Amino acid sequence: MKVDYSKFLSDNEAEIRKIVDELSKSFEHVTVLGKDVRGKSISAGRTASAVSDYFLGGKGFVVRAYKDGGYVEYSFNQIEDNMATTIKDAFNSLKTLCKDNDYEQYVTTCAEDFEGEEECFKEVGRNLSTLDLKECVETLKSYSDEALAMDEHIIEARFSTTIVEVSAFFMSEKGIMRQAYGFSEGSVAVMANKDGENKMDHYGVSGLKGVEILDELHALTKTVVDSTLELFGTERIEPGVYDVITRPDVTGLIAHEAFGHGVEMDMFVKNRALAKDYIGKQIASPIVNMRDGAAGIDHVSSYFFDDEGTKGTDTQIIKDGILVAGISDLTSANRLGTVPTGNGKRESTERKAYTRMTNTYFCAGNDKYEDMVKSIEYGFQLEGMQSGMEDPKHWGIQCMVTKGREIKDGKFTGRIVSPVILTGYVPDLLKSISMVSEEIEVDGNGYCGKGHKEWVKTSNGGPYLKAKARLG
Amino acid sequence: MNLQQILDILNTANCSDYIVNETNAYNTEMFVIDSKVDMTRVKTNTSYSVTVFVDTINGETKFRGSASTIIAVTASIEEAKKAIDDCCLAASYIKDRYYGMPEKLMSVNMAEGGDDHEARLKQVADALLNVKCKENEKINSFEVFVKDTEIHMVTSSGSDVRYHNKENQIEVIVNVGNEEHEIEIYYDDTFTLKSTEELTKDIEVQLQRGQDRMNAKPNNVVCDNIIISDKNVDGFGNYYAFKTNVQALYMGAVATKIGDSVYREEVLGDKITYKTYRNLDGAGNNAPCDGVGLASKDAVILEDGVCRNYIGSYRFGYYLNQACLPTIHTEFCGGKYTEAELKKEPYLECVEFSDFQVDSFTGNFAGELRLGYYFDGETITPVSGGSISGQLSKLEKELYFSKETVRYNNHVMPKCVLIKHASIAHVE
Repeated sequence: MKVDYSKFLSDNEAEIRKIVDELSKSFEHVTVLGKDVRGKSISAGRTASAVSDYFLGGKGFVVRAYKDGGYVEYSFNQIEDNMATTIKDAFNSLKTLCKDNDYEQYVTTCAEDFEGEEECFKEVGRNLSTLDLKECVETLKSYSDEALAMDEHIIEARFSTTIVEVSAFFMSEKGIMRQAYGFSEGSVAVMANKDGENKMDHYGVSGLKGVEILDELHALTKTVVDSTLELFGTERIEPGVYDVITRPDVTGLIAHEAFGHGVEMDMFVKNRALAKDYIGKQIASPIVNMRDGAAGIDHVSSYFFDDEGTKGTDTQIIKDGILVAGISDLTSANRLGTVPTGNGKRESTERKAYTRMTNTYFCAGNDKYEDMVKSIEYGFQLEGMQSGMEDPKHWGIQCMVTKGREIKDGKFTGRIVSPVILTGYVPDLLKSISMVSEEIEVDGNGYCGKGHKEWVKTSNGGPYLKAKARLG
Repeated sequence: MNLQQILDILNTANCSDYIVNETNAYNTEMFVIDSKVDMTRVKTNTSYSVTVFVDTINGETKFRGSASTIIAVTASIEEAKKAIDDCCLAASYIKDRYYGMPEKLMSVNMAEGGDDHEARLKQVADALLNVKCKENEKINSFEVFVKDTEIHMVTSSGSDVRYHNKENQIEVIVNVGNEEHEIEIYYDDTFTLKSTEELTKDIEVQLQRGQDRMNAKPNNVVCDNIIISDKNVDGFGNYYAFKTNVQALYMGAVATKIGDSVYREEVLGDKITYKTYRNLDGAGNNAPCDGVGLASKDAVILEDGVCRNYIGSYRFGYYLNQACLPTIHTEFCGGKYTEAELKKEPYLECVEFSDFQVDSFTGNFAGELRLGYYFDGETITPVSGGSISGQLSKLEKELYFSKETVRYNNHVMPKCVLIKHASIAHVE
């Protein structure tokens, strides 16, 4: 089913064209991103249920103009009379501020214009117009009731789903691109209390899907309930370095935090990433391969063009353990003299574009999962992605993981440690990878920040990995 | 579209109650790399967020459902009406236990200004550009967001609230290096007003931390006294505040009654005192109430660990028949001992983490250590690497809050917290 292109964007395209034409008289290069992100989030649980718009939804425009070696931007969500003049005045005012105060300009070459008209409208199983909210609310509530009935210690079982449709156009002086695509996600979070102790776990589903995602949630119910309940009685891990097997969700977290952020090339421009000096060098075990791209696998961050009008690509970041390439937004690529990879993303039209990940994952290997477990003399299988934090400048890594499942002499003992914090030096961790399983799983339930802000949709994943890691 | 048109639609819509927020945001932003202006930006945005509440009755039981939507300023009357009608329909499908709305609140709290963006931008940019760096130090890059947001909230219960949030937000990256390697320190802050001297001092602290991290030894510290400082202290206050939250109480995650202690056993350290305020002078967020119109008040929530009032959303307070308060402006009060007194014995003070987290629901806390200071009883050595973790319910017996407090925008908290027996993962 086709994802409907935004009427708001269609209705305003001619007005935006006039603004581009007018501003082009005063600036060397002018582009406008128009975006309409529509979505519904539905959640149901014992204590509360709700229907709301997608939290990163909204519609608006951002004008980017180039003059005298630098860019300025103006974000707005309503087209007023004399809009071009308003924008021009704001730009001139900022230019004057910089000039009057002798603020030096970071000189950038101007991006190349594109000509012509291109479109890409993707399909999902069932688009947003088919969403039956009554059915959705009642279904999620029935799932929640079922989970709550499974154990007396469960105090809340929150089932939620979000269905999103993204429409965008990118207009330059001589061309326009349009796109529409959809993605959806669903999650189950179970909270339990036993003798005053609280435990919680969650699982999710996601993809370039529509309303049909709802059908996948029910199957998670027992898994999440069991996973939450087994957290009671868990112990804290004795801090140290262990052999570990990372489940694909934790593998994805490592891909994202350990290396994804580290190869965002706006960090190269600022000299904030060690990876800049390691292109062409061995930084991981020879069995490690890693990719990122909006045009690689189909997942929640797959699109035709990014928020700067660059078409999505598929970038191999690590090949046989060697760092071969980074990912970049348009401006960073211009500054570094590289080809932009279509990774320029904004939280919304209200925000600046930065280099951001799309779908980031370690590639599959040749090992059987069962052999990986058998090969562990003593260690833990790490499960449950909670959060992570990047450190591209020093290649540190922090991954918060829900549980470590103890393995002794190649067998699970039944003992679980929780929670687990994985830390270390990224190359040490990546070079320690000794086995890689045959299939990958990718999850797109999370959001990625840059520092502590600028939230965008990404997916991460990979196979099971065997490595050595410092756990605490 | 304007607020009155939306109110006109809502007053004839099929809903029992409603809340509308008109938000007008105006930002001026500057992005600087290596002391050169990378980009400047302006943002203007007007939006309307609408929440509707629809009551239904099944037999003798009354239910309430809610749904919310954003109405674009560019929407036509017909589009807004359809969005609100759809929202009312969606709310009617939700059969949550009935709850009411807070009392009517009339409040106007508009800050002066909104037309001084360039002056504010210049003040902050000049301060950051003119920090005097030593030969091996530099300001790598920074971002400045000068923000003005006017909010007008109207509810069906008669509340009419206007306020103006005036904030400056900065993100600053500093480097300290030698021939072998370079250190980066990340710093962010949000404030209404800081003098050039204050801003300079803040950055100088970060530069010193960079110097210390560059000379830091691998963290192999064995020490029972862990000190957490800066904004990371807030997580400890939030953990105890959660124990007085009406939603947590209703859910069954906590069981705190008014007059109960939030501690399970006898505590040797400081017992928490936590307060809410109607406002704090110079706060960036001037909201006099939460998102449904529940008014902020000056109140003691926890007094020496004893629950005196609840916090949280009006809805769950209604369910429990308990008054509760929002936590827009808070104070996590200081303890018995000064920072100097807490630092008499050997300690590891953790000042920079990758991301220090305290999970209020489980009590778990953890973070990768980027910079700590180890005092062995005689000398202080900077250390880096490894992690600190623990479970608050098992460690709260000996938790001490410094007497000195610091203010971060809307929140006041102890300058540091001393926790005993937390787990340290070492660097091999």
